[in-house]
Amino acid sequence: MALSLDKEFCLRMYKQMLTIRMFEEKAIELFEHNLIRGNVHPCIGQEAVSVGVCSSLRRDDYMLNTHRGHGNCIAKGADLKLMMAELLGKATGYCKGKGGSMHIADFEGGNLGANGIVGGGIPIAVGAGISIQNRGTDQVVACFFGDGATNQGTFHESLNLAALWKLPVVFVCENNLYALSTPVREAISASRISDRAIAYGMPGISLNGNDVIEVYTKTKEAVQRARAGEGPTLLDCITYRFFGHFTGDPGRGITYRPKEEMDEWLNRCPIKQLKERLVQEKIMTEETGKEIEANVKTSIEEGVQFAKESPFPSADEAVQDVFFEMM
Amino acid sequence: MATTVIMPKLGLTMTEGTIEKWLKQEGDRIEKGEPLVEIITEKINFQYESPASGILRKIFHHEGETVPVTTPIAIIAEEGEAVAEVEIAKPEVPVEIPLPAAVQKESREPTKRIFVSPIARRMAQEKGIDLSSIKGSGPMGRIIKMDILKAPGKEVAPAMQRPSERLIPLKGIRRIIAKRMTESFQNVPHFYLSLEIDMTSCLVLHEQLREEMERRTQLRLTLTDLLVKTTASALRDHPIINSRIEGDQIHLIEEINIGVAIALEDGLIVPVIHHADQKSLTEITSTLRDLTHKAKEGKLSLEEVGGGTFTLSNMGMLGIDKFNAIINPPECSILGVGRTVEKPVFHGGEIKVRPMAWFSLSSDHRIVDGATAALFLNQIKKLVENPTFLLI
Repeated sequence: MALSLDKEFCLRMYKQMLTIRMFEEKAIELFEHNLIRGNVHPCIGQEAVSVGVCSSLRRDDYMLNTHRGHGNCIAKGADLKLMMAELLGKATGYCKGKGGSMHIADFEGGNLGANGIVGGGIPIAVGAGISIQNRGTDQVVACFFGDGATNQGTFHESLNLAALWKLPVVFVCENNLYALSTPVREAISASRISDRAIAYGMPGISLNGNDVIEVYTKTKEAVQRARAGEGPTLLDCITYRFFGHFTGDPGRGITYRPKEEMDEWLNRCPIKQLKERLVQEKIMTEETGKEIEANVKTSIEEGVQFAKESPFPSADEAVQDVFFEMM
Repeated sequence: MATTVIMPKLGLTMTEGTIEKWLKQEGDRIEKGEPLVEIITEKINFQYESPASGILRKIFHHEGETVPVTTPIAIIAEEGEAVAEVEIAKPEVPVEIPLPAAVQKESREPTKRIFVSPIARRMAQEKGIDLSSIKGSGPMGRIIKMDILKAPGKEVAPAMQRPSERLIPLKGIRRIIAKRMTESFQNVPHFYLSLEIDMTSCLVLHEQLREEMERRTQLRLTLTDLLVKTTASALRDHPIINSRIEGDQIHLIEEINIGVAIALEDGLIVPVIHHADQKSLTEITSTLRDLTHKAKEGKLSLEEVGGGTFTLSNMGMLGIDKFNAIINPPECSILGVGRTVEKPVFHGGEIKVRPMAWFSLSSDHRIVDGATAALFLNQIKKLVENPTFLLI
């Protein structure tokens, strides 16, 4: 199928996916070097979901993130320098170094933050949806969560209210088939997560989460529906994390995932697939590919350098911005 | 560009790691992402993948060595690429690395150089003569052939018997067991209580359940499974045993997670049955079977060996009557179970032959006293002798 999308747009998506991949590889390296305090949950392998979804959003649209959320931040337009600084706990980071890898928020860029609690962001997305409805703007909320979160009460309560009140929310399940080490098939009764939408009277779509074009196209439709006041959609983006649950997961999760399965998914690498397609359709040459890679590498190195050179927050700021203070 | 490979931090609390095995040798070519070295931490074995492509130019730390995280352990560089000699010779070490005991000893006592002719050295070796005990008669006190010939003819000096020893470096799981058990035995004031339990009812129940369970689930019930169930039930009634001490506080733990000691070829591992008190016997059997299988394959995950609140060690199948186990820190107690033996015992005023087994409880005296531990052990006795009470 020939791409009907703009050439520059495709190249931008490719660059973002590559940025996420290389950012995560760098984050793992920094963790191993003991420069990141706190766990890192890399989203390597899931880049197409982040980029496909966020490419269909405007800057003033909102996003709710998860513990495995670096990719979504990058796709929503985060500054790599401020992200790296946050990961390293530096005062120049998005949350002044107090959030770390799992809690990057950037209200100006529409990133309402991530949540270390599984399914914790879903009700917040509904709240943001109510805010949009009350203020009468045409913004949209994209709410990311994993397959494990769809077994939480918050998921069901939130979907129900969002559908009932026709809130402009797109629920995006990053279904990487494992809730830590529990396979979806052992934890979810429905054969497809998208089937769960039926219970709440909203459209539910399962899609190939490793095909960025498919993710983008389907999300675009859901976003249009939300903007038009027609209510929420549940997207079940089936993908796979190539790395383990977190740094230190032996053999990238080999203790609970069959080797054959892992190898098969590696063949379906979203970045490799997009690259092949772009080259085949003459949107990208090997040379531009290399150029993009070099650019990405430089910007990540710049981010690391910025973060390393930044100071830690001073001790007397320890409780600042941590508690809400009534004016 | 040359890449320095470091001891990676693999988990939040990891401070040091042991090099279990280099999968490549100096001079070997390696690609980025290819397995390079097996690292063993307090809890897991981890195959670390190469962070770069090139030639493994230098290995700084060898198998069996334990170093703090971020310590350089090797250098990977392209063929012919100049790697500063300084870089190879003196890796930048962020934290002082404690040298293995043997090395420290040697370096602290510099051996005085002994001047000796080559033939005298060889003869001394053959005759088992310690050269430092000989006064040389050659120039500048050099030991020569004559000195050895004149030396008292002791055939083999005690010091020279050493080569017949075989050395096994403490590494991998052995090293961790050594460290943890020493820590426990030195720091935890252990005390031991034992009693003998009549296994008649338990064996009858085991027989009945085994057939039924096998018919229903194809799982083979063991006595250990039944003991896990019994212990979990007793722990629920004696929450103080399900605890750990931290600083000046005793933490009572809500979850009852029972570790079961499993002997492997190269050591001992204690996978944990989480929420054992909430599991049915079938669930306990299937969980323990799964954990044992994974333990033998070396595939246990961090969660599967962590979070234990009590340990059960059954040495019955190894023919042991009775033993006192060392507490698995930071737990409060460990139960050691011996084999079941038919013995004459008084039963209802008569001497009868009954299957009996010794149960020994080791406890941390900082947390519990004899009387408390005795109540708990008696509760286990009561449940084992009357297993139907488990239904209550």
